Amino acid sequence: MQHYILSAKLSLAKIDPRYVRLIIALVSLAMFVLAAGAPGATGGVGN
Amino acid sequence: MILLYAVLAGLLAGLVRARLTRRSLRFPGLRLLWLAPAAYLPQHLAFQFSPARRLLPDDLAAFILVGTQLLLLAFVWANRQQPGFWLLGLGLVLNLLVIALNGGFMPISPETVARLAPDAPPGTWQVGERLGSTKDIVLPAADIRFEWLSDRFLMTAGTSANRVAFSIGDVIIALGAFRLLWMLGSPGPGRTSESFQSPESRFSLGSLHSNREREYGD
Repeated sequence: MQHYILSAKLSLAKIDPRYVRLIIALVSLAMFVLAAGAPGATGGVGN
Repeated sequence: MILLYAVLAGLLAGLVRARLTRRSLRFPGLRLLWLAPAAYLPQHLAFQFSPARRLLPDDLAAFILVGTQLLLLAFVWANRQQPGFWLLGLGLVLNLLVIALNGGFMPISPETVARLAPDAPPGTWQVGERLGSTKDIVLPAADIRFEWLSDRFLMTAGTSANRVAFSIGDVIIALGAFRLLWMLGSPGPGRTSESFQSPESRFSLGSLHSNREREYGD
């Protein structure tokens, strides 16, 4: 069990925090455009 | 959804630009980033999440739409020095203006709805009512304040279910998102802000890989 926990910790440690920040920023930008824009109406009206 | 295509296109363009110019990827350190999900999540509940959107009265949905767009305005103001944000802000202000002046929803004319959903069964939508549970409200063109800012453009590619009506504000927001992401592959700091130039906010896929190899020996 400790082996798996250690492996998981090592795997997580390899993730560069700058990648994480980049992904968070991109997801936030996507949320921004979805909330700021209003192209809500589609041909499937009301779905 | 069409706005997400702009984000995707901008991301791809920025990555290609970085690759072609062999530059580091850069992304600005955005301030008050939490405001974006804080604005999006209430809107998601009000307009997308079926159980919640059915329960919400129109007045509350309109309040949520205008209130959350004000939050986004604060986010844009906090990051106004970043590339693309003046476009994001302009598009947001245009959408917010026409929404606020037309009862808290984005107006759309019956003519546009008829072109948008020509096969919609009778009674699916009515003038003066919200268009389903979307952000739009159907209003006669003559009654729409700032009609030129409303959802009056159509993207008609694909099947009728994929058709989308959008506003000039949406177009400007898409351009702003593209502009911001294009800067990912910026060859130099240029006129960008200090946070954009900070060493912490610039990196490259190559340098990341070599750093990891040094650290972990893989």
